[in-house]
Amino acid sequence: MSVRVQWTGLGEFEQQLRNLPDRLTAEAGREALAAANSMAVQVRTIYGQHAITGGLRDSVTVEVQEQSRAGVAVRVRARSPIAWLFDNGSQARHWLNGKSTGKMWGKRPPAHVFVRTAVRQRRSMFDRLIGMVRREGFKVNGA
Amino acid sequence: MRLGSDATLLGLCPNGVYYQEAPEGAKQFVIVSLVEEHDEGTFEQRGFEDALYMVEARMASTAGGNIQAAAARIDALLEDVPIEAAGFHAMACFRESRLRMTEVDDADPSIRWFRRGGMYRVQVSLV
Repeated sequence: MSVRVQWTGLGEFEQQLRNLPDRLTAEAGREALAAANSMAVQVRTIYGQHAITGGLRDSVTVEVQEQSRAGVAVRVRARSPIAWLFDNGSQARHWLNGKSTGKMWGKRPPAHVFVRTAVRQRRSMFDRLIGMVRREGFKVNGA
Repeated sequence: MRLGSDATLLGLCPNGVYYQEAPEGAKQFVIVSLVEEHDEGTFEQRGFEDALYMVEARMASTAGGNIQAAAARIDALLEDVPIEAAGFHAMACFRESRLRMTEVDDADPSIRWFRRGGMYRVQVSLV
């Protein structure tokens, strides 16, 4: 009994695989940039609600770090020196005897605005990217 | 709560363990805060909850204390240890990133606030 395996359309499949990265990288790049911009707008909006000088709000930037055939990387940064304290809380913005001081409304609890927004935007972006590769006929497990 | 009832941690941070912020005058304490949380659905209902917590020891330089030991104790209590919570089954608890920061007190620049701890991912499923 003979066994035969016949591939139909293998050449076309190989051609599709070769074309895939360019097309998907471009689309994934747009998704990543959209997620980064959306995050930056949300973070700036919340920072703006607490603006005194506006330095914290204006320090939020979006940088495209890499956009090549192999991948896309976009970074959102808050460059203000008080960004870390705003997000993670400050204990030092008050007198040890309880008297409030400083520009940042005394001692403040952690706001976690930046990380929280980043995690949510990243999760949303992953969902869209998974949908993109599924649309191309790939099966995604564990998502 | 596991952190708040641990004698070793309370020995290192005698002012206690607090959510979000400590009372005025506290100089050696632990702060826990919720960074981000989301629910995962299974079979059209909530299946498990996935939360990221910031847990860190804070100490004023004027109070002395051992911030490294406090952070190490926090990690020993949380890393890969099942979290007990009524109505939930523990799934996972692990550190995602380490935190280390020194703040300069605005009012008295000679005072430093040392901060050490981490971001801990806690995952639990509903009973």
